[in-house]
Amino acid sequence: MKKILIILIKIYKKTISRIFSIMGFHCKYYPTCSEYTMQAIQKYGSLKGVYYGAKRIIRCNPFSKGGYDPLK
Amino acid sequence: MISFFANIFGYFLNFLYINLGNFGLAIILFSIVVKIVLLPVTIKQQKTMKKTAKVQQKLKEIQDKYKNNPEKLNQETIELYKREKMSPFSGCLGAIVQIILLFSVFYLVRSPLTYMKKVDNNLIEQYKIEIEEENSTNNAYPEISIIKQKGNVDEKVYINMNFLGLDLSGVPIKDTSDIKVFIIPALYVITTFFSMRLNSSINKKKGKNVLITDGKEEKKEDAIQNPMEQANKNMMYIMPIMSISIALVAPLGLALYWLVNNVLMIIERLVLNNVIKDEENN
Repeated sequence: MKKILIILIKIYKKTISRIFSIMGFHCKYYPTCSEYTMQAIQKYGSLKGVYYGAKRIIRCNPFSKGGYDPLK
Repeated sequence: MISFFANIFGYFLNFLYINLGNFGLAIILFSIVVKIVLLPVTIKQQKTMKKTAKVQQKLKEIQDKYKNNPEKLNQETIELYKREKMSPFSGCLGAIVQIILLFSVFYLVRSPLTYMKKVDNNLIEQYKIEIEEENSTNNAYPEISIIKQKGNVDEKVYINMNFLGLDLSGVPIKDTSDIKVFIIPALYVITTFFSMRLNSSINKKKGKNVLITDGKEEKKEDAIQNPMEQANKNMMYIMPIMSISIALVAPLGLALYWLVNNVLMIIERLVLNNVIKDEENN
């Protein structure tokens, strides 16, 4: 499960993410949301990792500040 | 998950449809309302885009420095934005909202009975089987055929798909006999290329400003940047080609939504461009 999710995120980073950046959507944070989710999944497992990732993506909205936000 | 959102948007589209009595008009008004709701975000995005043009020079230096280290590049980029006191772009949530919207609208035009009119599932299944028995052909859009073939008989599954003489339930690739089916996709292609030209002309203006300030160095950097820019350019063409081919295999309603969206985006770009320019001058 862990491996499948991480492969999916890697595929996303190589394809969809690039299309987004052309459309003008960029992640506001470092590490990026996908990177963050990947780390979270590796550290906390699939369920918790996805939960942390989702929380981060919601934080990554037009009205938030962005910036350096590493995984705790 | 998408069907959950499609259901919510469906309530709104149905409300518009009931009041306007026309699927096409409902789609147009729907896209206008969505654009207005997202307007604050768009304005913010455009403003940051303008600011970005200003820090572009610095950004290029960073990109050059860390071109073999994408992780570091991202970190440095964010740090630069911090220094220049700008928050970059609309973030990941904005991108996801756009994707959800895109799929919801596709669900809505593909299965308007389920998501818009909230017709009972059993009834849809029953009609589906009836139509399959009559035609014995496999159909990619069963709900569209139900509207076409059973709409006249049963008021419950009737949707007024006629829009200015065009049949919005038509699928361009399938109904090739009717030339009118291609009007909306053709307009969509034209507006897409127009908005792309508009975008690149705005970008070119940015480029010129940089050139004046720093002529010689700029050219050198351009040469280094070229492969990356070339890849970006290629991607720029992949997007419209992808969306155009989707527009050809999906019911016309989707192409209409995209067409209206394109037109609104062009207007938005032109108006906002001028407004932001005025603000800067004042």
